[in-house]
Amino acid sequence: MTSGQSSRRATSVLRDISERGETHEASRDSEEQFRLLANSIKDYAIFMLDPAGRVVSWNAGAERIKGYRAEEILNRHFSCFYPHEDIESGKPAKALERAAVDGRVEDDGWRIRKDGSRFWANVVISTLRDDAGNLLGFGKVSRDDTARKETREALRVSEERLRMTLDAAEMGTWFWNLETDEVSCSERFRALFGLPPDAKLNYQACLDRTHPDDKERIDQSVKRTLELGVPLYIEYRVIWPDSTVHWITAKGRAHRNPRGAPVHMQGIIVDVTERKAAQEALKHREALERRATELTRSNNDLQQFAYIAAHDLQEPLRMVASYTQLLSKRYKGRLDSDADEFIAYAVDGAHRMQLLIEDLLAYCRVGTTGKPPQEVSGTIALEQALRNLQGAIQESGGMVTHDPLPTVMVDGAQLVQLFQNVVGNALKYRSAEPPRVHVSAKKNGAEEWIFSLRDNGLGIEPQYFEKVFVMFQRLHGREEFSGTGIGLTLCKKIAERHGGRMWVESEPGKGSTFFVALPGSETT
Amino acid sequence: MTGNIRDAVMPIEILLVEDSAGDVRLTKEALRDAKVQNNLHVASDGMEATAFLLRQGKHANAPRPDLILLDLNLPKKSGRDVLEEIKLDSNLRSIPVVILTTSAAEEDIMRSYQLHANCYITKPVDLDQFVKVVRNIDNFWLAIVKLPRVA
Repeated sequence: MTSGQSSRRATSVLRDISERGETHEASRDSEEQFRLLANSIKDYAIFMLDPAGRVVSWNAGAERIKGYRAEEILNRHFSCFYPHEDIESGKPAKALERAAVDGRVEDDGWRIRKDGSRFWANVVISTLRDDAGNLLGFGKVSRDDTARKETREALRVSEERLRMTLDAAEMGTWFWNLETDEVSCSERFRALFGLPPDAKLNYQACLDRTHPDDKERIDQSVKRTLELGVPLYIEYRVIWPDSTVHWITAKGRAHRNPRGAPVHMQGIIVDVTERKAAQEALKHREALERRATELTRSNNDLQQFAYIAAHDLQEPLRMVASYTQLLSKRYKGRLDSDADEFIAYAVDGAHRMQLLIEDLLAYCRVGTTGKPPQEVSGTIALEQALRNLQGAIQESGGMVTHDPLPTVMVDGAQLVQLFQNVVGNALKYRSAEPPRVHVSAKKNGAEEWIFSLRDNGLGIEPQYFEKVFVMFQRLHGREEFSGTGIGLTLCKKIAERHGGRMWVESEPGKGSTFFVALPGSETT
Repeated sequence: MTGNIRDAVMPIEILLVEDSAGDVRLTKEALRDAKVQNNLHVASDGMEATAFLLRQGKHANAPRPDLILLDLNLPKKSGRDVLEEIKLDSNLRSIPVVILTTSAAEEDIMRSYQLHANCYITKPVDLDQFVKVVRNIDNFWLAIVKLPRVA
């Protein structure tokens, strides 16, 4: 079959269709009107193909949409409207095959204009058969759907973006139809409310999930939004079936009909449990910080008080001590022996009290007159302490040895004081053996050195390990060993003032080891 | 002592500014057997010290002291104020002023020297030490140190 024949046949087909059942003049007119109608339609490409797929008719819409004039396209195969990838995959032929089988094929897809540009088309191909069922050709109606496709695509992108945003923000969405009291919501909404994925929801079902103490507040907020039109903004607790409590922030708006009556409400919810927990933690921490500040202040006040008290006590005590000493000097042996004894006790008491007050002042000064920490060589500090103790060391026949000691961040004078007190104690509380003290240090983690001062003295019973550091606690009678019982308290305070610690390990009869943890310097 | 410009027979005039009677007595005791013969005058507060130095009221016939022992914490007028007045007065400023106080506060020491105190001594708590210190003050300022002759 030549193209001319098919063209003629297709034309006659069109005529045949319109003539179906009617052969009189009126139908001829109607056919002509139909042709005019098809031709004048500009929004649709309406044309016909012969059974092989060649174009046999062309209307104004086809010319407008596809860019071909009738004489350019008639008798050409309709596959020229398809992009080459569709041609390669045989799409045009398949479309006709399917249309031939099903009678009709609808397709959305890219098509090519004469100028090569693409447009998105909605195409319906209908099969034309004669009364005997012989295939006569195909009628094809196409629409340029590019704009609509773009709109749809934009809408899809926008929806996708919204979905992603809601997803990223972990927001659940809800829509409450006020007329049907139906609540539709996103999956996340259900998850945040601890609801099963399929349950039908209404307002009460949602409210049932909330904390009893919050229900009334929620109700009032919703009411206000419905009545006054203010946006809904509320935080409340949701209780999941597993009894866990979750904080939710809900926002929403009411939509009204033209008469102003609310018809639905919609909005979002977010889980703010973590934020609430963080807020609580922050509140808790602030309270702790306030307490710490108060404690520091009250501690400072107390220290100040102790210092002033000790200082002011010193003045009258100096009088008592001086005059009892004067009495003792001038009148010893001139009164009776009772008087001498009494005076001796008064002198001794006043003297002891002086020592106590001096120690108390020294203790207070650790906090008040301490210098900021700097790099101090442990070796140099120890050697200074040993020089200060020279007399006591010689007198006791003692020997103090040490490993190379690290540099630490301390107030140097206080480190000397600490070493001096601990070594001094070792010389004082000695066993029958001549006192031996060894000082060493080892690193503890990145930021700390632990000094150990090991002696061969009397040692300490384990139940006194803590007590030896308590102010004015003495383990020995005054007759045995003199002292006020403040030395180790002071050492511990020095260690703690530098962010360190102090403790003791000991075996009675074998000796004690005092440990002092101090912050290392950056260079060690 | 032979090096001192003063006539050895003339007693030395010392002004002790001290509100504590106990300390006054202790100072007197300490000076009783001092090498240098001395007259100890006592002003028990800052106002009286000023009156003594400026020969006002009942102190009209007060001698010019050769040495002033000054406590810092005094009633009515503090020792610091008295010190400042002395050192601003061209007639009085050459008199050595020894601050003798219970305070060991860094701040008091600094402030006293800034006001030109000649020396600062914290009262020793121990009696023997106290006596020793007072005698040393006496000996140093009145027997060892050379001071300008005053008309």
